[in-house]
Amino acid sequence: MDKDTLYARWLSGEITAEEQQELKQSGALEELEAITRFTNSSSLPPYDSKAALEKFKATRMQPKTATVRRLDWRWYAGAAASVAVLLGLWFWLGTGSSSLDAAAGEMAERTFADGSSIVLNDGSSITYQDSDWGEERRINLKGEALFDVTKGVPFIVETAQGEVRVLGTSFNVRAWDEHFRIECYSGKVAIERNGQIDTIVAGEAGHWRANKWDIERDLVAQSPAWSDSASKFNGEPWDVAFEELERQYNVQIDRPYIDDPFVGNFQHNNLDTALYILTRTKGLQYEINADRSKVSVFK
Amino acid sequence: MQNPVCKEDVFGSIFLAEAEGLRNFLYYKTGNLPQAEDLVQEAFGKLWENCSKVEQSKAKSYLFTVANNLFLNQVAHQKVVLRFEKQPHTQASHLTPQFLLEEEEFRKRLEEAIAALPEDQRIVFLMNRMDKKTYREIAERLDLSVKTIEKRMHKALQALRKVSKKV
Repeated sequence: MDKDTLYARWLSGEITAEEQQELKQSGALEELEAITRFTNSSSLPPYDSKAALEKFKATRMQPKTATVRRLDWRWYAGAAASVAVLLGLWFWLGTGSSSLDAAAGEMAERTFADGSSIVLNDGSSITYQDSDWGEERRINLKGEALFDVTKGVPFIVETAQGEVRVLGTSFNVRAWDEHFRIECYSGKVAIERNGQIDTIVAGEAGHWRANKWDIERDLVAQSPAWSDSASKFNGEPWDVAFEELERQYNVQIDRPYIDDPFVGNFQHNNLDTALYILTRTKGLQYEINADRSKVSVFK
Repeated sequence: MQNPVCKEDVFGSIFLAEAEGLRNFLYYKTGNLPQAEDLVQEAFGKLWENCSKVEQSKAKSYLFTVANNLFLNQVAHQKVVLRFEKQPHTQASHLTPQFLLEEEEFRKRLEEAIAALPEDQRIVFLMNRMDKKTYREIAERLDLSVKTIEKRMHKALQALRKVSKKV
């Protein structure tokens, strides 16, 4: 017989009369009954599932602010985005380049002659050739920026991580080091890295993970959180969130390296709250030095 | 086509059916109630985030797997201390003070012994005894065979027997 499951089967009433007899004679029965008496007369702290669901809906399903909104699925059908056509590659030619930088803790904006506009997140920069925007509009980006592109010739965002091409749409590109993520808020965007091309439409995000495009189809935001003075993360490594915090608050953070995915956001107006959000769920603590230029995070 | 899990009413019913069991599961692991309840919110957050990729029939085991991973991600693991609330005796008037004292001691020893069980065994034991889940229901959530659950249950009872012997 299955001796190694005997007690378990006794509990669930699946033992033979013979086994039952055996249990009784060995004295095990009495002891097992004492254990079940204990568990039967014990209960756990109560849990209010309905309240927990309400909390969940309020904090994770409903809009937190006007710009962070979970789209109802019907929205996608209604939004039937305009279809963009991909055109071939052009080469970077011509002279007369312009640039725009956003210093740490600041944002920068520019509107181009064609009506397209760009908002640069802090620590980011763009360069572009303004001489040759007739056949294509090409911009080189370092960091993160929100684009609102008017319809016209292809608009191409080059980054060290890969390329994003569109006709007319709004989208956010986050391209820091190994981190490459594009969120599309309207229209359709083609994304390319290492020869792998994918397209995303409004309400989707393309995230480069493990050498391929991971397409997220349930994008909440209609603009990046940082353009509303918050930074939002959807599974990027924890350390990327710390880096962003360093840039936003212009502080240096001494911290253990954490590769786990971080899901959440922090505002840009309160360093303590932002640090609390990033450290609390990891059971970490932090200290800010007197002139608020350095932070140390520790266990 | 829309995956059912992404529908708010379906998601809500999964939440109501599984949240408490998930909270308890995390409590058995962590011994920390607020942490367990936070992790429930986080685990459902993951399910909602990935609702289009998770089949409805797999939602339960997905939740328990995600909750387990989230727990493992937490840097600080504390020693597990579980507290059970004693339900009042129905015929308290018939019980002698001596009996009540002995019973209290027994409860305390058993509580400690349960907390000291290997985690695998503790979880199976408590999911069965406290959440009244069948071995099959536990197996389904932990992605294990019924046989494995029975073995863990047997071992747990074996260890706890030793404690009850001393009464």
